[in-house]
Amino acid sequence: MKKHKYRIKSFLLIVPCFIVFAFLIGCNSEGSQNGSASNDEVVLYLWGGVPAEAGPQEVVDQWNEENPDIKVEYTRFVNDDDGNLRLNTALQTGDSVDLFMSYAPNYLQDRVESGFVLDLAQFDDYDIDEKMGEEAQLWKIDDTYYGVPTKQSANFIYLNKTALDEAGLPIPEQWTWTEFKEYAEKLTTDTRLGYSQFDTGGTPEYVTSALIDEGYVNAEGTSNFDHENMTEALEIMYGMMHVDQSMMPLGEQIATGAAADQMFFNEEVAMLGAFEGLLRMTNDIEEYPRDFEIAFAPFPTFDGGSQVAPILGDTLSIAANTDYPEEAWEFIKWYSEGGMLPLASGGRVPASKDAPVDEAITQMVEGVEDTYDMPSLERMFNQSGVTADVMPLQIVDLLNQELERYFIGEQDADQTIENLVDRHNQYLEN
Amino acid sequence: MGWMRRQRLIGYLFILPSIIGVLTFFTFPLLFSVILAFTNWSGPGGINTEFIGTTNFINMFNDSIFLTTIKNTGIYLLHVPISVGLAFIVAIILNRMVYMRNTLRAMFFLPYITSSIAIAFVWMLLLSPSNGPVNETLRAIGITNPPSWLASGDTAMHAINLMSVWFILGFNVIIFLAALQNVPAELEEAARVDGAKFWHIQLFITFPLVSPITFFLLIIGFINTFKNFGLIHALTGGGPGDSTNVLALYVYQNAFRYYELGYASAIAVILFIIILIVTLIQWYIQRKWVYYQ
Repeated sequence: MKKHKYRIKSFLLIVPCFIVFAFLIGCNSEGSQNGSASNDEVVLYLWGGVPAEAGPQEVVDQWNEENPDIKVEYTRFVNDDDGNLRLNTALQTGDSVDLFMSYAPNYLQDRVESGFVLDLAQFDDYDIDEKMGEEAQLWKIDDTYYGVPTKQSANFIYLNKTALDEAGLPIPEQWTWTEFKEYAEKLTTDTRLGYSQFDTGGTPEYVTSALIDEGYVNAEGTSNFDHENMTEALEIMYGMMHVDQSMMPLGEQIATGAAADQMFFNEEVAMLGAFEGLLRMTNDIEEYPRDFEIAFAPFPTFDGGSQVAPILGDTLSIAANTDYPEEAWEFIKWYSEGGMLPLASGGRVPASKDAPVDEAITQMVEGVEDTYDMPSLERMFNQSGVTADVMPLQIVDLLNQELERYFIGEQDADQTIENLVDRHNQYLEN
Repeated sequence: MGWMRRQRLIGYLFILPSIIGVLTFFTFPLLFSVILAFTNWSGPGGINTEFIGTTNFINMFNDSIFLTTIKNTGIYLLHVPISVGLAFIVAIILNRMVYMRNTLRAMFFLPYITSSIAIAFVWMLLLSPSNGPVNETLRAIGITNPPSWLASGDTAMHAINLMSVWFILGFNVIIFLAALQNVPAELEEAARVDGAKFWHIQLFITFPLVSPITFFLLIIGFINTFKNFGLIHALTGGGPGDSTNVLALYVYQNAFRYYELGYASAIAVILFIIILIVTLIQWYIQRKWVYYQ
């Protein structure tokens, strides 16, 4: 009798287990059915790093209006290490991403190596090289494209034109680092520094510029950081920080977390080295009020050296496991050829030669044209030069570490170069 | 026999959900990361993954950053005993106070429940080398060349230790205050009758009686210090140079910045071994000074 009773109890226990199990399995299969085919409506999930309200939502709304059969939904990820990890996780699990942006070749490379990205060679109705020009090559991986670079990235210097006028300095169209240093010194006053660099955590512009013609690695496969331009670059920057005092010493900048862009708006600094993305802020004169006109200059070059070419960015790719590659491809073409215009006010100018670039620049500064020196701004989107190599993140980090040590006075220039070469070579060997 | 077996089976059925949970979310990742330590895995989906034996471990000892992070982690640990010692003194004072006791207790605890990002920014402003309030004060009292704190590789780690002492002090004080309530008043009274001085009583009577709590705070403090890097990540990101880079932060950088997950796992394994050894040593030493009632 007792035995019998227990049998019933254990049976009763097993039944709910089975029910829960069956329920879970049921949910799962139901879920996947929902994802792939509900009412034949195609939904593409687009991931990008720009806040939805700063343009992407308008882009998506526009597309959805023109293409009622193919609905696009936008998800924002923050373009930092954590945000990119979030995107990679989504790509890995595979059902909430069809289209995504990569903002640096390193990130796209990682994704391609992980098998997350569709090779675009299968589509033959859009010649990326012809449309985007040779700058697109930067985004080629294993000799094929896994994404279409859609925007012109431009690094340049924002100038306080009012300060320049007061000091009697013309807007430079092309200049050397030595001339740049002189500008900074002349623009320095009791309340204002000459120059400040917006920190992106990437390769400093003077390093890219120093090795633009020789490359980071020489013909023998070893580090090129001991090139004479490097020594010159280091000494110029050190002199600006510690001798001319036309620039905030790096240690001070790190310790206070001083925001270079805010200092520029507050007229605490006359020249700001940055990129086109900050136009979003200079356009917003309500949020960032200023009483001066802004002009633009390219980054300087070394004597006899080439200009660093603008690179292309905002590379749009298709997830390898999307259900709708054709539809996603249609969206990419539409976006590159002008669909992206609502993003212009954030400084995003299309890379395609057939896209309305002039219109983008006009839209970009609409309503605040008077606060810019327009000819110099237009020049920034017509720059040309030599495309820089991509450096692995490890090298970028060790470069910045050694430079920090130098600028805060823990080691001299020779020691810095020696450490850089050693550590770079050690990385190249492994 | 059959009945017993069935009983046992039912028992296992009851704990099955927890076992599945522990296996999937704890044991599996743990073992997986140990396996990863012997591969060159570059992240989810990594195609060219292969076993590379002990290469990761050998590379580690040629990696100057790794060796620096070990040294920095050692320095970072210093704030734990300092904070525990300080907390003991603060707790005794607070315990004796009649007025403002609760207010002060809350004030000490506030940092602990504040976002570490907010804390990082406040301290960055306080410690600004040229015009921060700390250095302004130091200059005002006649120190002409105050330290540049976070801006110098020589002092950055100490500045972080200073912050960390302040950060965990409140937690330690609260725990000590609770422990002090359990110290029998008659022991203290007896000592006082025998003519013991106030600090003698604290040192020879109170301290031994709360020593199990002290031991607990040290163990927890050390383990947390090994594992946490949030404050450093927000304050300096490991810089200037790599002067504040610690093991846990370096694991994070390798895993989620460089996508060298194999190498990151290998460092994590070493980190685990170090924590284990340090904790075992503490267990061994505690026999000499911890007094259980």
